[in-house]
Amino acid sequence: MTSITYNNVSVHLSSGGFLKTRPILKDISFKLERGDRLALIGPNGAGKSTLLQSIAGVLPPSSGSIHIEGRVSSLFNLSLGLRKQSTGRRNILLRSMIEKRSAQEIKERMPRIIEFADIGEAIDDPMETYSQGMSVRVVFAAATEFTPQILLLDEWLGVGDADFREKSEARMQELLDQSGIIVLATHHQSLTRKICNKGLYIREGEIRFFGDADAAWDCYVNEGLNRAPVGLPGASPKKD
Amino acid sequence: MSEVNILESDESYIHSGRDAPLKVTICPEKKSVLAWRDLANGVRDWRLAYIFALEDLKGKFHRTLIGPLWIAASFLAFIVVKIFIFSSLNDAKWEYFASYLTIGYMIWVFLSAAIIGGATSLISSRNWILGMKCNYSTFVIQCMFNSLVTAFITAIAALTVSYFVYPYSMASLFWSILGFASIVPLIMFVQLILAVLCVFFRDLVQLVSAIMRIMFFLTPIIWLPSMLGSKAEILKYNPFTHILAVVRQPLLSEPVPGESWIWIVGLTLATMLILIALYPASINKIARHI
Repeated sequence: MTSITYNNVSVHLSSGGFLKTRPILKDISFKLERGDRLALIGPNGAGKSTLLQSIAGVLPPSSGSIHIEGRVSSLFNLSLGLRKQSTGRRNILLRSMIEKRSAQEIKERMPRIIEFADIGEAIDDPMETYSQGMSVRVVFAAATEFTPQILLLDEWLGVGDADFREKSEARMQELLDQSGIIVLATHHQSLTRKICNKGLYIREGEIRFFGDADAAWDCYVNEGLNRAPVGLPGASPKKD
Repeated sequence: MSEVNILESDESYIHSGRDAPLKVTICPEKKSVLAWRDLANGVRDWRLAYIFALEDLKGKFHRTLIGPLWIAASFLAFIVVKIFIFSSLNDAKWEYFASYLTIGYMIWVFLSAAIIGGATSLISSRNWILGMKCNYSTFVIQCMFNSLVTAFITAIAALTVSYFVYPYSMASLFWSILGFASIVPLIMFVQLILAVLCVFFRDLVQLVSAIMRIMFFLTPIIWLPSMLGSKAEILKYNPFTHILAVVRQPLLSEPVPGESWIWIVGLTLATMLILIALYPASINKIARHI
């Protein structure tokens, strides 16, 4: 049974000062079950990435409890979970080993991951020589090959070229068909209104709305328009 | 004051916690289980740390002509200069002093790399710690592997030089290797303690670096205790003196003082106890402060 349950979770992160922390997530509670596709929405700095990192088990909560059932794979910012001086192939190996995949499993799956990434001989070049699109292909291929039950994507929707977008969407659909959970932190409004069945609108670390994806977007758009002039960063969602 | 506990299995995990000022659920056992699991899994998945270390080594010597041989080359160049200058400042036989300095400096290269590198091992792995759920100890073990690889390369150069200028027996070499093996757990515990503390107290990174620079001159590496006269008494309070003794003395065909073994055992136990107290208390806060 795949599920994510948050009970009154708060996360405090270092604020840069000597041993100082500040609350990034405040008293978060929600529940997701198999087949759920959650659009995590809110302005920049609202706490979306922190929430994803806490689901991934990377950031333990300062208070409250989190219950996760299912194998989690995450796609965060490309500056995280990568060794840019190493080759694409080596990064796939490192990532798979951290996810506790056996040597045999990795050996068997490596050709498929490389085929999905489809960057040719560059797979044996250091990733610091890759374009952003190439890095995206390698990381996405590695993160989704082992069919995680819970997939976390931070601003990863609609990245890459048209060919890759088609492939990645097909793979995400495969995951959903296997009753997984997908959580997308995103600013793509129309796309997530189509894809997601649930929406969680977060602002200043607090949940403003959790429920139907369309209703979450409506709440965000209305509140966003009332709060700040359109055009300011984070003031309004992207209308794609 | 805060309390967090995590229960984990391969397929699922639960984590929970509470910050003061309200009621605090204290589950020290859970936190210690989590800390123990991090350490045990880090050791069990040593191949991951090893691959990380290999990647570090490859990156460091990427596109160089002689690669890791630079470690041996720079070590030998340093030794030659030091022997040339410092051998004339003491009354010992030249051969003895050359071997004394070569082996002493070889051990210091390891200690310095392991301790300074260990202090920053978690901070420099920030992008993995925040990118994926992983065992923190993996990155400290990675640093130990890095230091051991450096030590292995310098040891080949140092032991060759030492053998030709002041020959030692195979039995001496065996006892020296045994001495080295005995200090590895101690250095590992020191690395883990410093790695965790440096996440919270960033000044410690600079402090460790400065202390190691000072200790190089306060440890009998480039000078002999006999040169100090009555001041040599203070050496017995320098832990590095004893760490060097258990590795160096056998190769100089001298007995390791019993006092040095007591220091090694005592320091290993003391650092282990500090780690047992520190690791569970800080494990859930590392990612939030890194």
